[in-house]
Amino acid sequence: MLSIPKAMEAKKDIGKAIREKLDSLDRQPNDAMWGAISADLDKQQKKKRKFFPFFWLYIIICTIIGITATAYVLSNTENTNKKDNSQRKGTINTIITSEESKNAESNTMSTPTSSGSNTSENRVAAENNKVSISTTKTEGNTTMPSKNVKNTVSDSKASQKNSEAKVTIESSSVKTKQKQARTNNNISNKDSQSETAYTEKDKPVKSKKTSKTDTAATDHIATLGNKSKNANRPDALNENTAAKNKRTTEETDTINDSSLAATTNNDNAATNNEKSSSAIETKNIGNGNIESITDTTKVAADSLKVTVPTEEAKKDDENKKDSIPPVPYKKFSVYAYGGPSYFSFPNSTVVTDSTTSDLNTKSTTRFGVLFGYHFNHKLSIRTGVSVYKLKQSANGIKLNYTMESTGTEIGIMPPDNFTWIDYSDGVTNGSVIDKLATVSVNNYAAIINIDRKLSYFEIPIEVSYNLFDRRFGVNLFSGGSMLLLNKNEVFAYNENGRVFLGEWNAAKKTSFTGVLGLGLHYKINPSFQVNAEPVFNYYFNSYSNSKPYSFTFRIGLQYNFDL
Amino acid sequence: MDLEQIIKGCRNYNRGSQEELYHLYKGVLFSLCLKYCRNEAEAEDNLHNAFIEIFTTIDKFKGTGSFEGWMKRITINKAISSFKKTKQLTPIKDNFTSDTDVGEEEMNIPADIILDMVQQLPDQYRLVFCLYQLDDYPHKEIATMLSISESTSKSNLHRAKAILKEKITALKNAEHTQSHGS
Repeated sequence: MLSIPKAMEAKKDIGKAIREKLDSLDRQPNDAMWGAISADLDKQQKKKRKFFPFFWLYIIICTIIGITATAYVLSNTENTNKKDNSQRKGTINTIITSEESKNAESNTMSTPTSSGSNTSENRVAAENNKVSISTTKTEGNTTMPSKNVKNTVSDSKASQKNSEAKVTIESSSVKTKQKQARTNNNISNKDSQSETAYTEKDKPVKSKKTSKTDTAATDHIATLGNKSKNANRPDALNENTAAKNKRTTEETDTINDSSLAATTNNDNAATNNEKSSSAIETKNIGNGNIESITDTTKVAADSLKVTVPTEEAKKDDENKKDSIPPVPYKKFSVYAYGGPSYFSFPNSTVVTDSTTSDLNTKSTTRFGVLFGYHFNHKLSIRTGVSVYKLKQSANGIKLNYTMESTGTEIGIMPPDNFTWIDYSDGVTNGSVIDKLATVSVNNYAAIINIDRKLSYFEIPIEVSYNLFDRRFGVNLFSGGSMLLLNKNEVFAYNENGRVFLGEWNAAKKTSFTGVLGLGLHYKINPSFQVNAEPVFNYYFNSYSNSKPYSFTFRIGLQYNFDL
Repeated sequence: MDLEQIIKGCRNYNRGSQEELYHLYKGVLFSLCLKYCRNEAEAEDNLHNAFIEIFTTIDKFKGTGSFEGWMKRITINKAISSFKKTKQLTPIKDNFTSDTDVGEEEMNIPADIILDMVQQLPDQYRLVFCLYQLDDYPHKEIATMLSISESTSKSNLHRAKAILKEKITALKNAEHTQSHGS
């Protein structure tokens, strides 16, 4: 048999031959391997659980802030309504107290609307000066308390035609009149408060019990009744009820019976303020009495001409405050903004390997548009899109080949590539040296600068709560945003040129941030406002090796509108 | 349970599914690790890390390619990462034989011994050899993966083959001497 010469033997590439051999390799790992893997997986999941609550904690906090803000706004609105109602009820209750009458309830049903206009009605009555007593009588029994005041004044006005008549009423007749009036009151109105005013006219403290919500005009009438006999001092008209009552007491002590009676009658008219006691009284007393009342109230009415407008203005103001409609707001808004950002990586792991210095953030800008929907003048939500650019750089990085000998072999070794870059095809740190070699050093080294440029589209969603909203306003907002990476470039450059290295491998294409900000605004008019907003962003997962944060100062113009 | 159900279970962090997947592929991936690593202990470490990575990133597998291929790539990347951490320098300019062909008789060697020879290669050579010769990666991709130039990859491959041939020849010569001597 012929043996095949060794030179003729079929040969093949050693690589292929080894592959064939190793393809048949079948080895199993240690049996304990799964136990170790399982234990490590447990640890990994615990770590995830640790991160998970942190992320959700932020979401929960944002939600709580949102809900609290909403609840606050809603409760505020309710409180305002309740306040209005309670104020009205307060007036009603006072009247009820002063009347202490079951019938009062029916009367008070219409009181709120009239009580607010007592002063003006008084003034009108005083100015009209034409109302007849007979009309007063009729109205006194049937109309609202405030109108009785008007009637009282009207009475005095009606009899003002007899203004030349002086107070000549004897104290006895006045007292009789008082009793009659009281009796009438008790019968018709069961008005204990007015009774107090009658029976304890010398105890002005009691008259303090007269409701604070009795109209100021009424008090003035009462006081003026006293004062008119002694001194017609308009300034006294502005004093409070207690002071007036005290003065009433003092003056009552010094004036004669008739003036006392007149005062009392006026007090009665004033404190009753609701019912027709004065009308009844007027009906029961003689013309002379009417004249005396008229005489005193005439002065009151005259004085009211001076003082009432002030009181009225105050009342009007209060009424206006109560009835101020909510600050008008527009439901929609568009807000265009831009501004610089300060960006910080808490640790320098972002960058690098030992061969590079840290990358410093050179500049960051953010600009975009937000569309807002305003639930009310306090709470709003907004979203939109913005562009966010981040530029970082490191300077003076030296790359160089190294000479290396291993036994008998000597080689020139290129520098390692940076681990944080996904190099583009055909690019290595060795090729960078080839292109950017710094001859002044040697042909195998380059001193380079590195620029890292990132650009994102950001889609924020923010809930905003107005803390203060006038021409100048302050609001707090919180939310989150989604970042979509649209540019990720790393360049090496020096005086010899510029080389595109690749991409930063730690930057994720889609990531999320948390947003917290304080907004300041100035309303040029209801439609336009200028906003200035310092904003804090926390980057949950934008970079695989770091969780940086940023401060942005947004400034821009907002247009508010309704559809 | 078919592979799809196992993958679904793994995505839900089902420990049973994870164990099943491990037992299904531990042999294939361990053999892969043995080729890329210096020894069995290193291979086991690499396999361990690879499986952890597979289980924690299984959501990223979109199902468009081979699942086994995806797992192999993760395993290889893990091996490369550990190589990069050690940063061992390898000469790129040296003398080596140009003939890397072998005869069938020369390759009449058990697979375990061949594996030992591969494991004894310098790290960068071994990685380039495995990537190019055993797993069909092109030089361009190898250059990117190992952060080296394409030409370096080619020269490393050639050098790896030359070293292997020398080792095989030396082994055969030793066997021949031993057989003639005895």
